[in-house]
Amino acid sequence: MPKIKTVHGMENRKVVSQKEWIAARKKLLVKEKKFSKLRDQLNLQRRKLPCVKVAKEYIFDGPTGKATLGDLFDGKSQLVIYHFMFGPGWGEGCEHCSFWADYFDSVNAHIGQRDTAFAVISRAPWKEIAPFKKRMGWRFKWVSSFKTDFNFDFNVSFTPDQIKNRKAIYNYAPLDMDIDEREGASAFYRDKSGDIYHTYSTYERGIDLMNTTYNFLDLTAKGRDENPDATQDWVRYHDEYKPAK
Amino acid sequence: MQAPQSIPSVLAAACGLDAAAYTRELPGMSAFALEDGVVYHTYSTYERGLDILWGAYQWLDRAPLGRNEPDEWWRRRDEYKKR
Repeated sequence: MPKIKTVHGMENRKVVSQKEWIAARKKLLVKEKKFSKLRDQLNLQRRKLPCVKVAKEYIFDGPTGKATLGDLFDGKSQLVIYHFMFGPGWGEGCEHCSFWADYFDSVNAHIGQRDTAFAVISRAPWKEIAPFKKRMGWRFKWVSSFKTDFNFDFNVSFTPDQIKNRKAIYNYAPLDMDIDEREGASAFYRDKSGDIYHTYSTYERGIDLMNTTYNFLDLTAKGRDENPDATQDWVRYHDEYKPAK
Repeated sequence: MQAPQSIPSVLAAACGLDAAAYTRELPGMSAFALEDGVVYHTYSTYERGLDILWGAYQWLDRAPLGRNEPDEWWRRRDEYKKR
């Protein structure tokens, strides 16, 4: 995990008059607007990326039986996927992916209106995913890629051989840890003839913006206020947080 | 053919208001801190400053067509027509 500097508490904050504060806020606003414009440019460049035709047929397993990648489009032309870390035999999905997943149902209420389907894919067999999904109360579409190459082809699962021989690739670079599952997000396009194209994938901090808790915390006085040596050491499954004091 | 309606007029109609009344209310976000019983206002943001707090945009930005917004498409979630 990258080290993100955060301010602990209010000790370094100057208390000023309203007039002084507005002047300081306006100076920051110039930078914020620049960031918004830069982000628009980055989004445009992302849409100009080339794409790769998906030649393999992947058959996933889910609550209603078998489903192909094409089925996950649900009649729409775009599909976005969250690669959720949940390996065979884990018993529970990754705590940190769960932190992200707690927002998926609210996102899903709107993106379907933009010709976009949403799905979550994990490598654990469906029978292991189903009870965990029920416990978390999530409604989004979640399927298993167990016994398919999907997770390996999209560089979010790694074979023992890849890990041992340091041949695993994650986030477009050699994977530097002993782990067999990692997180990510991918986007696909389906044309009128039914051909599917992989247009985008992102990993690690590339999914940071999809975490609404962080986007809110970044606007508060303390920011994320995380342990720089173990960010997210405070994260739990949402049913395991103790009530606030 | 009808002239296209402005975003405020469409959204105003959805709230049962005219555009002038609608634009007297605009969205924003503020942050406060409480220390030793004293409340401090630490931050406020408006307009596109709120962009990042809308989860659906963060995902649409990664989709092949992006936000793909030729018109104001969003509704309250219980008001979308079933497709």
